[in-house]
Amino acid sequence: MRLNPLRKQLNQALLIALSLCLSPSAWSEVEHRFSGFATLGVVASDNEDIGFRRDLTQDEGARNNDLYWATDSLIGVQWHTRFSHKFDTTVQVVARDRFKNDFEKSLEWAFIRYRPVDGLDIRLGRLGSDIFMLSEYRQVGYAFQWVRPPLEFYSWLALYHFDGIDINKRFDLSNGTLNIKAYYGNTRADFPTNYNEEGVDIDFNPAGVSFKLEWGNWRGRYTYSSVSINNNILEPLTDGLYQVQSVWADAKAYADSINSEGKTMEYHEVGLGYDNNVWWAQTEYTELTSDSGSFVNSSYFYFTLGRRFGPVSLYAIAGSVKPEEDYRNVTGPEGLPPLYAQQIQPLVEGTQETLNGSYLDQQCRGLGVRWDFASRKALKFQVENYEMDKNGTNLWVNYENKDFTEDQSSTVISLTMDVLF
Amino acid sequence: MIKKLILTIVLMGCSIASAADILVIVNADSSVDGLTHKQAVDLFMGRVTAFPNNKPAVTLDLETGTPLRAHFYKALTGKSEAQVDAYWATLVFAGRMTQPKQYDSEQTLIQTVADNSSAIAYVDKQPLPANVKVVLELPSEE
Repeated sequence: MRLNPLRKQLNQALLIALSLCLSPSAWSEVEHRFSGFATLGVVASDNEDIGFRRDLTQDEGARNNDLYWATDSLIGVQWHTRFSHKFDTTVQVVARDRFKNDFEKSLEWAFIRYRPVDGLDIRLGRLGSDIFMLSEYRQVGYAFQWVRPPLEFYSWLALYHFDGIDINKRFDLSNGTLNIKAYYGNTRADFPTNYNEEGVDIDFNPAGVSFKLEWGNWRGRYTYSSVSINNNILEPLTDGLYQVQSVWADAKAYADSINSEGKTMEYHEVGLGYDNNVWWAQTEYTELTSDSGSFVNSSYFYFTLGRRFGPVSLYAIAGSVKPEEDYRNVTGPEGLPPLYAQQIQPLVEGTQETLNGSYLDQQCRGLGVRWDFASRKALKFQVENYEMDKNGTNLWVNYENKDFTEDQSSTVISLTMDVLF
Repeated sequence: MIKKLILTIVLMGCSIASAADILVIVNADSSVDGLTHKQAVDLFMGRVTAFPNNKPAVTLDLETGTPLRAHFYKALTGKSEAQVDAYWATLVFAGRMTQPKQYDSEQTLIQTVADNSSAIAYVDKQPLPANVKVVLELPSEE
């Protein structure tokens, strides 16, 4: 039988394609992977006035010893596609409780990675903000020992993702590995406040560089990040202040300080971890400074120590967040006619609340246990005691926006189950 | 008495024999002839994606819950299987690395390594076909 030339060519092409598919080097075929993680948790907190939340992206919390499930429960799914050893894409969606929740906020990662050579990664798209030790997996309960990332540290520092680029270069050392990463991008985030329903909507550009060293049983890191804010997050307040500067001399200075447009926040973070597979310890410290009056200069810290007994791990944790500036008392202009004074009073109160809105002064001590009771499943139980300065309770949901005259405290009990799938 | 002694020696022999080594294997055509312990850790713990000679590496794994998998990672890193899974979760869900593809048996691993010049896997010490070669031997406690 004679084959016509075209058919012959087609057959040859098919044969070549088939042999390519069957040859040992045929690993360039597209490969899809689906995986995920989930946490089911309940938490109870005994303070009656303020609600316990996992971080500042939540506007509901646990209080009054009622069991609350939305704080820690979540489910995340990830779709990874490998096109070749140089190109791959990752999409991650996490469903959990968030203030002003929507799908756009649930889309944690969506990026393409280009790896021209082993040890150099360039990622473009929606990326995890690798600012702190747990930043990139802070929602994956199975990946860490505690019920949730240490609150004093991770609650206010609630940057999850940004749209932009990062470049990571690995350096192989004799007994370790050094990774240096630089990143830049843009993101918007909604945060609830204790004083208005709509919260604040921040549009900002994070940029930074991180150094991560793994050396035997030790891990260390340093990150410098700068976050520049693109919008004035409290425009109604600053507009109001600018309008009354003729009768309230301080109003303009307050407005200039509160106006966040063009202001920056700077983070210096250091982290150190040790794990010899029996004992483990981890600590992180961050200093935040800002030239905007809306963000109080603060220091964040935690230390934790644990020991494994087969599938059971016991740990202790201590954390603190302290303001590096004084609490600000704002007084309105004196000697005004009562009608004017009455009109200005909400601006005075709004200014005081805003200037102290991120005044955080609390510490925590806690104990916990993790039990890896089955493959890729862990149960955790954690008890913590929190103590807050009367002005420093802003990590908590202040339902009635109370001004406390006494320091606050709460005992928080949590039970969670984490799984990977 | 002598019988007891012989029995003891035999039992000891058994326990020594069961302290089987684990072999790290690559395709016989691979340009890699040997790996240090650290190089194997870097490959199987997702720190690197290439062999020391910069050729791309495809790391293969056994399914979670396979006894040899637990023995291998214990011998390689000192970590339990749960610790290894937690460690990989930090890399995978951070979008940094892809976890090695998991296979259901050692025979599938050997076959896959035999078919793929970039592959690297681990198996219990055993006679191997000519198209795979050993690049590291790990003593296993069990």
